[in-house]
Amino acid sequence: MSNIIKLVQLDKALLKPYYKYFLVMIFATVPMMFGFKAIIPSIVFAMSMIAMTSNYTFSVAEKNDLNRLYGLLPVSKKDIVAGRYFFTAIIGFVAIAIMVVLNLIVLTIAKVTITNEEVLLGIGSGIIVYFLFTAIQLPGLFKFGSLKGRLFSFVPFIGIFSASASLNSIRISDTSPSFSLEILNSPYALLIFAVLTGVVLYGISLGISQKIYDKMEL
Amino acid sequence: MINAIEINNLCKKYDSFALENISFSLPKGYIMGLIGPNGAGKTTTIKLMLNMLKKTAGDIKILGLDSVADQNKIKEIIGAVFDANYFVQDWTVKEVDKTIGIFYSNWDSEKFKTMIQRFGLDLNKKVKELSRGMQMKLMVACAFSHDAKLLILDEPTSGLDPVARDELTDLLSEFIEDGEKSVLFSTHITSDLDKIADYITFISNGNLFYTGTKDEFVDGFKIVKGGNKDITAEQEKKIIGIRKYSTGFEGLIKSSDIRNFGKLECEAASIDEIIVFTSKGGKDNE
Repeated sequence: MSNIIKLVQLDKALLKPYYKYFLVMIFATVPMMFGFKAIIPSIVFAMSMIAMTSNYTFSVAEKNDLNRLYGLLPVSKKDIVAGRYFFTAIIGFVAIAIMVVLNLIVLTIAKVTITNEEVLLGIGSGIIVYFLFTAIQLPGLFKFGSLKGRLFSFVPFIGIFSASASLNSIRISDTSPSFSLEILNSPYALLIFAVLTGVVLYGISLGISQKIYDKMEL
Repeated sequence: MINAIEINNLCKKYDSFALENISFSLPKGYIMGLIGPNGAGKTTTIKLMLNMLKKTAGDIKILGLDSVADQNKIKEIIGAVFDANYFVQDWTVKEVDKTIGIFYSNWDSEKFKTMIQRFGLDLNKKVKELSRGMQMKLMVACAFSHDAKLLILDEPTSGLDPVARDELTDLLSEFIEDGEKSVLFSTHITSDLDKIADYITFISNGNLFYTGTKDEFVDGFKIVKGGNKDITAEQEKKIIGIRKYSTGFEGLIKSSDIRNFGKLECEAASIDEIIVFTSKGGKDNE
């Protein structure tokens, strides 16, 4: 088992006390799904909410003074940072999957028809929003910790406001192809674009965080 | 033979404190006490050994491996016990086994469970529900479970009752039984060291004051006592640390200087007295 996978498992164990908060947060977005009646703003809203939980692992580590544990484990500082990014990414993908399923159920109950393209665009927007916000948050949390760096936890509010204010009425049927690059007018291409954007954002953010954490003394 | 610990000219500089030119070694199969007053640099030395801090200069070798280049290999073969536990308070003892065990290639879960049973710990109890003594035993169980070759203890007995301290010292004696394992034991409670330490390294104000065998350390100093008028200015210069009363004085001297205090009463010094008097006088034995 690679060190990064071991660290993902450690982060999973750290978050155990917070599982109930995740469930509450996921189900708290259900009324918003009924309000939006569209998958894209619903997922953008939900993923912004989920991005706000990225400080939980830092919070548990700080509360339990785990720096000594990290200092004792046979893993490098770079692995510790990469493990945290990997874990945050997994949370994002699991949350998107749950949100898509929940949206499909809610929209079916609300008798709103939904196309495959809308689902793909919803997933794509969710990926971009989540990876963008967490890519901004994580270096700040590595640098300042969850207490001093709590300002970074509120970055996703931008997404919550955007979803509420401007995306409420976005439906695939209302939009005409608007990207100058023809390939981006395909939902499939947009999904691939979203994943690649997420990878690039995490690549840059990971490099910054590793430099920050490497300089830190535990 | 490879030493368990080999430290040469270790330096760490902060704005307000500096650890300077610390050198000591611990042969395999022995217990070394790392002593010194609060803020002397003991924890800094331990954190540098664990590569939790970046050294300013010097070399640290643990079981022949470089503390920076081979840090992962080193951490596979060392265990640590601190004054407070380093696990998540909400984990159960069973979860400690499951979560920490995956990091060590030679983790023996059965051995962990045997140790837990031997220590009277409950696998389903949360870490936060354990007493300080039990938490210390949990850290020791982890060290035993991945077959650590070197155990590093940083103030593990502070806040423990005498029974728990006695149990720990017995465990440490058992740990080094095979002659291949070693212990570095930083503590304020020097009576623990009287019982089990083979070597002593004494750090005072960031400087190495002594490193060597415990017997030489204790034999190397004497307590000299007398009335106020019994001591001359020349003799006072030879005293490492002095405590004056209205009726007299007592001070720490090197055993080699005993001839200079002919008529005065001299007696053996305890490790505690050596620490107290050296921090009062602050003179280096160099």
